[in-house]
Amino acid sequence: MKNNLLAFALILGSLLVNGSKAQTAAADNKPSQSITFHSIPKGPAVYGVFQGRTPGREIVAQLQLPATANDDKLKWSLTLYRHPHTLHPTTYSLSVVGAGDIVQQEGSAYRQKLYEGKWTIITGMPSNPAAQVYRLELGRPAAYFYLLKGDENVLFMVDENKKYRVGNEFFSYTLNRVELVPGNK
Amino acid sequence: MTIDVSFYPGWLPHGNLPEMKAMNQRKFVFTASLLLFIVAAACSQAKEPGGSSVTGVFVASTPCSQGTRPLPGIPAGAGCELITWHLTLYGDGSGKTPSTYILHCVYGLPKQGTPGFIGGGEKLDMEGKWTISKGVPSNPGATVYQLTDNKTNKTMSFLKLSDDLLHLLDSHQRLLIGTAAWSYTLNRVGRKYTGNK
Repeated sequence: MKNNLLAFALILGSLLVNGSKAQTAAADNKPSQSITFHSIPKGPAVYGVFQGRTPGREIVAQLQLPATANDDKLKWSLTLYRHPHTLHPTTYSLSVVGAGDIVQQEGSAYRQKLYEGKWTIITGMPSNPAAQVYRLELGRPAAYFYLLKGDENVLFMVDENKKYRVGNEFFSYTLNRVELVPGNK
Repeated sequence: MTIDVSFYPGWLPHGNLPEMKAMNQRKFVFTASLLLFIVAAACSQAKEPGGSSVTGVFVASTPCSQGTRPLPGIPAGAGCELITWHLTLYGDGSGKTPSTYILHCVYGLPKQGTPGFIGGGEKLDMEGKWTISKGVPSNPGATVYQLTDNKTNKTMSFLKLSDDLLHLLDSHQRLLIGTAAWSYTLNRVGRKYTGNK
């Protein structure tokens, strides 16, 4: 009888123990390096650089950019600055490659739109009244671009009504903090 | 269901001790084997029997974190920079209670200028059960989907951002950080973005 109970307990115990975690260890979850051939913003006023690739079609409409024949994706690079002492948001610079003005380079051309302006942090979106949302002024009256703060390293693009945007099998509407490193020219 | 296994050695005259010990050992082995068989049979059912419905299908192209990988079955030394995901979540008849999932992935090195992989990539399939839990360290009210792999018994966690978006978490339940090229957000298939609606 005792042996039966022991056998049962051993089997039950092996089932009840939580499965070990499969996902990336926290120590390996860190910003990746991103090569740039531009000057790298540095100093305590730089809050962070966030990059990502998103689907193009719907967001081009939000930004009032001309639709292009090849608008399957956009490449984003957002630099957020803040006051070095108060840590309050100050200005941003945003590069969107894949839409906007034509830029000629040796042997090829691409489209790019550059934005600069002020940014602030507001609270609340329809699905989450406590959400922290970064609001970027686009330079037109009452025209803003919104990003939901996932955490210090991950931002989610939301639309004009602060609703989530849904990506596709190739790209999401997510920007990730990166560490810029100089490329070899 | 209850199982009652009993032996009655009372007919043995004067209780022959060596034979009783041998019988007890056989009893132990039989009981353990029976229990193992029952458990194995239960665990082998990855798919819900008839009556289950698809709760959602989510797709993504994500990076492949260096060091520990986002998925079990990807060797640490494998050439992996990109993973494509096709995740189907099943629920009960109404789809509200989680039951099982099937995950089809391809991983490998991306083929420049295409959404594909060099050499076609390596396939990785997983299936098992999924559950819903509450809370991550940064948000006690967050909804987390936990998927357990039948083969390895390892779990993966996703933060539910919305009905249409899931985001992969690390071992400390923090959002996985993507790269300049790809992110760890999974997107629902079939629910078209409706903008202002």
